[in-house]
Amino acid sequence: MFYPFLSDRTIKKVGVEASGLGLYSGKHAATLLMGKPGVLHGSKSYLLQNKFGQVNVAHSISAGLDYPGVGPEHSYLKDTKQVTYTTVTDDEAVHAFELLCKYEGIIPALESAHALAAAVSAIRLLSKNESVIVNLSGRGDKDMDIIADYYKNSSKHL
Amino acid sequence: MNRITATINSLHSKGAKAFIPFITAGYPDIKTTPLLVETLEKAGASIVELGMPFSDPLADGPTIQSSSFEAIRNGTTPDAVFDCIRTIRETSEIPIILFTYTNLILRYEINRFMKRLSSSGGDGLLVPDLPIEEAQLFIKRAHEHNLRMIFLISPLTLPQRMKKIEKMSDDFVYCVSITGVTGKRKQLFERIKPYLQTVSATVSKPFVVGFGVSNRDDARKIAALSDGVVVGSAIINIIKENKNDANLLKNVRKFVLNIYRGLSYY
Repeated sequence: MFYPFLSDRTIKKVGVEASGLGLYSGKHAATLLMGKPGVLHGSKSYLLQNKFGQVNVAHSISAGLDYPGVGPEHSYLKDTKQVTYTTVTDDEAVHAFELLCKYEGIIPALESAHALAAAVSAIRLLSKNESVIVNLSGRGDKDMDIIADYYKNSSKHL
Repeated sequence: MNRITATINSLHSKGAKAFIPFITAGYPDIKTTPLLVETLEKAGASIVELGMPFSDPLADGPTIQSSSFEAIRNGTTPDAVFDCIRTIRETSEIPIILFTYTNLILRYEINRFMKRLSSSGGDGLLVPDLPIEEAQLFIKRAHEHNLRMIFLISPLTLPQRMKKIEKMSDDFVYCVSITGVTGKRKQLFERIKPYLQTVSATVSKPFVVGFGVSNRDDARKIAALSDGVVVGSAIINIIKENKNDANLLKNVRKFVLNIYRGLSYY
C-alpha cells in the first residue's frame, strides 16, 4: 500500500498497529511501538521480546495482527521515518467494523478495521479538500465467529 | 586445540563414530543438568549438545519444545546456562556444543555471547535458524574466542549448497535427517538411506545425523553410512518419564548406554 506513495512527500503515510487490550496491558501486538529489533521465523525486524530475547506472546482481536513480529519493510519505513505508526485497540477496531457495515454495507476484515478506526479519528482533524485513502486489505466474513464471540462476551450490541 | 576438533579428529583417525546426545539445559532444572551431562559422558557420549532454551524453538518438535518452555519457566536464562557449563567444566573435559537460536545471541550481543560461552568452557555452537548467508559476523566472533560453529544441511539442500555449507562448518557437518522438526520417526533409516548416500558422496568433512534418531537400531544403521548420530528427543522423553524418580540418572544412563553400544561395533 505505501510503496507507490513513498516518493511523494506531500502525502502523509500512517500505519496502524493493534494495541489489543491496551499498550500497557501486556496483551497487544504493537510490535513497532513496543518491540526491539530481533530475529523470529527467519526475519529480522521489530519484535516483542523480553530482556533475554525470549519472544512475548502477542494479542489482538484480529488473527492476522496477532503476531509478535512485523514485516521488515514496516521496520524499515519506521526507522527511515517515511511512515508514522499509530495504534488502535480491539474495541476501537470493532467499532470501526460496525461503522463500515452500517453505512456502506461492506464487512471489513478485522485487520483493515484497525486502519478504518485510525482514519475515522484522523478525518476529524482534516479540512474538507483533503483526501484519505484507507487500505481495505481483506474481507470480514472470515471474522464472523470472532465478532460473535466479542458481542457474546461484552454488553455491547451491533 | 579446541575440544570438538580434538574429539572429531581422534574419532576419525580411529574410524569410530561420534555419539552426540542432546539435552535441554535447565530441564528438569539447572542443578540436574551437570549431573545429566556427567551421566551422558559415562554412557559413551563423545560430545554433548546442550540446548539453551528459547521461547520459539522452530527446529524442535513437541518433546524438546516443552522441555524448553519448562526450562524457561524455571528461570533458565542464558547466564544460567553459561554458569551451568562452568560447573560442568569443574569435573569434565567433554566437548560441549551449545544449541541455541539467533535471537538469544543478538539480544546478548554477539561478541559478549561468544566471549561468555568460551570463558565458561563451551567449545562451539549450532544455531539452526542462522543461514550461512547471515553467519559471517557470528563465525568471526566465534573463532576469535576459540569456538567452533557447526552448520546444518537438510534433505532439501542441493549438493552445490551442501559444499558451501560444509566449507563454513567447522570440524563436521550436522545432517538433519528429515524435513520437519526434531522428534521420533518410524522406520527412519529406510527413509533416509538414499539421502545419506548423497551427502556421503558430496561432503568430505565428517558428518553426523540428527533429528528423529530414537533407538539403537536406527542409530547403528545410520552410523554405518555416516560419522555419527545425535540423539535428543528420545533422551528428553526418558528424563520426562523419570524426572521425579530417584533413579533418573540411572535410567538415563541405561537408555543412552544401550544406544552407544549399538554404535561401538564400528
